Amino acid sequence: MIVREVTILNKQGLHARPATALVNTASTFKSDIFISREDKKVNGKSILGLLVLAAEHGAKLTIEAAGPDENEAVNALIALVEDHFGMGKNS
Amino acid sequence: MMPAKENIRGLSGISASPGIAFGEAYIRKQDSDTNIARTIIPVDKIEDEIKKLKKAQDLVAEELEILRKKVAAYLGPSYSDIILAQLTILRDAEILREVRAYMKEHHVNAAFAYRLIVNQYLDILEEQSSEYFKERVADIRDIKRRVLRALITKKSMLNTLRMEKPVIFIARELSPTDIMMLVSENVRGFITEFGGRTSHVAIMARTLKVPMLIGVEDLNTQIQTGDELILDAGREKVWIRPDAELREHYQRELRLLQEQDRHFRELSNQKAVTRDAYHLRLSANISLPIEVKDVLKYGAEGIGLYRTEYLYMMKHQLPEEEELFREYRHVMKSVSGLPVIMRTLDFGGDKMSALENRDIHCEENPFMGYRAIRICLDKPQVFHTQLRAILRSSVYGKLSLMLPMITHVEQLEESLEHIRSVKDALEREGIPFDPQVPVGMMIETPSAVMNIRTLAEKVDFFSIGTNDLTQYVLAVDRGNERVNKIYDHYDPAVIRMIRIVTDAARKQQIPVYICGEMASEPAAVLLFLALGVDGISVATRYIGAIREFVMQCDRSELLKILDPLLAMNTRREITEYLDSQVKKILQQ
Repeated sequence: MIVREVTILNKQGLHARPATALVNTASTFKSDIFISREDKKVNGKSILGLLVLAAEHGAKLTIEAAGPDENEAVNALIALVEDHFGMGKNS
Repeated sequence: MMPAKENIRGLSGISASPGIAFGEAYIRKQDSDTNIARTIIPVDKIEDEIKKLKKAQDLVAEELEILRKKVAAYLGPSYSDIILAQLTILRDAEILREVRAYMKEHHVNAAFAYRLIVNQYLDILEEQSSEYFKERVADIRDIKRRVLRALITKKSMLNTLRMEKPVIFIARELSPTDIMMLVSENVRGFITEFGGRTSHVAIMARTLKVPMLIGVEDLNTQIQTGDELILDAGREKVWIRPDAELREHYQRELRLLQEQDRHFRELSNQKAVTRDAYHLRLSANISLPIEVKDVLKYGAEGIGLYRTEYLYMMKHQLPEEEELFREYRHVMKSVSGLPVIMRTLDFGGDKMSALENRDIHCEENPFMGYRAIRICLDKPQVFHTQLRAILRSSVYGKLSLMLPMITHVEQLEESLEHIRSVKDALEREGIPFDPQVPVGMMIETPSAVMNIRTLAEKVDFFSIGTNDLTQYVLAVDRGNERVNKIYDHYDPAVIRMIRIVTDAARKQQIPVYICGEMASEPAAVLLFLALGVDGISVATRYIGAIREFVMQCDRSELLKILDPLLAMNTRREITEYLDSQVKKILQQ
């Protein structure tokens, strides 16, 4: 299992569009993916789960993946978050 | 007058979209799911039960897909991703996993487990206070309702709603997607208990031209499914089980309206020209691309006001340049070369915070607050995105750009500077646009009127927004029932303000248009003709009547009313004088 931490850079936090992008990326991997913030832990492939996290700008999230492609999965998700979910640096 | 009879019951409400409709009452049952029973499912039947849930989800997905196409067709492609957000919620993997786990552990039916699990999420999300989350919660609740209905009835909503005969659809509350879903040949009108005149639902009903009455109390006790109804939304009434006399009365009225409509369409290729050949440009106000077909049908000479807010208001986040561009290009291409005046964003700060996923900062005085051009100048990023999209669509026809709510000269200069810098950027990037796009401004604040000469030197045209101008000149919120009697665009102060603007425009030789509701009233049209206004822009439904009225006027005669009119000091004198002039013209 791989565990890594990442910070939400988007000014608007993890709202619907980035959350959808995260779910879509997570769903391309076979591994189980969980995202946690403080005491809440949710399925990384669930839009409702991610919304429950209510992660705003600057929130620290822990990404964990377990399965055959856990390395690629975590790397892809970290890259996505660090790239402002592909929405531009000003988002 | 309609026959008021004691034996026929009528309910009153608030008109959200005017019009007359006949139909049977169809009442949507209470949207409550508390009556879903918990039944025990034997272990060997659990997989079958899970299959039922999946099937229900498929039905809903099918429903949403049709809805998405309908939204794209009616409102334009940019609106259809409202539905995509719902599809993502429907297909949420975690929900399905948790529901399945719960069913296996407790041996219960799918509907019970699904409701329980989704409600757990809703409970958490409802605690979030931001406007953004409220919209999401509404989406999730909508999906839950759809899935449970599909599970229980095993039918998609589409089948249940293929109405066999004309109905008036009644519910406690309707969402914009409900309206979209329901709009069809046989759904003739809507009645609800809740909702505001300026809500999205009301705007949508007006745009789609479906009569709608809101704020009707006692709906459930007074009306039953199957009752014959006559909805007269314009007069804010619904009649329950009308007698033959009342029915005939309305049938006559409806026939009359249809004849009038046909007559106006026959005149649609003529211009609004007075007997002595003064041409008043008659254009249409629109909010959504779907209205372009009415612009063409009633023969408007262009779009005098394209309100660009709706694409922002229907979304949960700020639209991107490409979305805006697609929308504007669509309008430019479908309007057959007619001129279009696009107004940049004109809404209040509350909507802006919702789009930015921030908590709404309530303003004590929103009409004097953070809105329209003030937002755009404060957030150049947002302004530039829209300006780029507008300028890019200028190559598809005759486009003009219009700035709302300018109060002072520096503000106009700053806005023009932004336009220049966006043009420079497009040029550097080699993206085509029309460099000669005319730029005009709305005149809707007293300060703009008092600075009118300098402003006139800097823009290509003026358009007077009489609704806001009246509100700001008279310092009255017309939505406030305790003071809205003070609101009157025939007040001498308003008339004199308009006069100052038309004079300044003539001196500078730039066109001046009117785009407020006032322009749809014959009395005001007389004033505008006398003042030498170049054009007016009204909702499409007024085009026909105004054209016919203008054709009966004689401008040389009207010039004589100007001096007495401008000398009058009370609104009563002005109104009575103009009304008598209108009568005189109609009696000729």
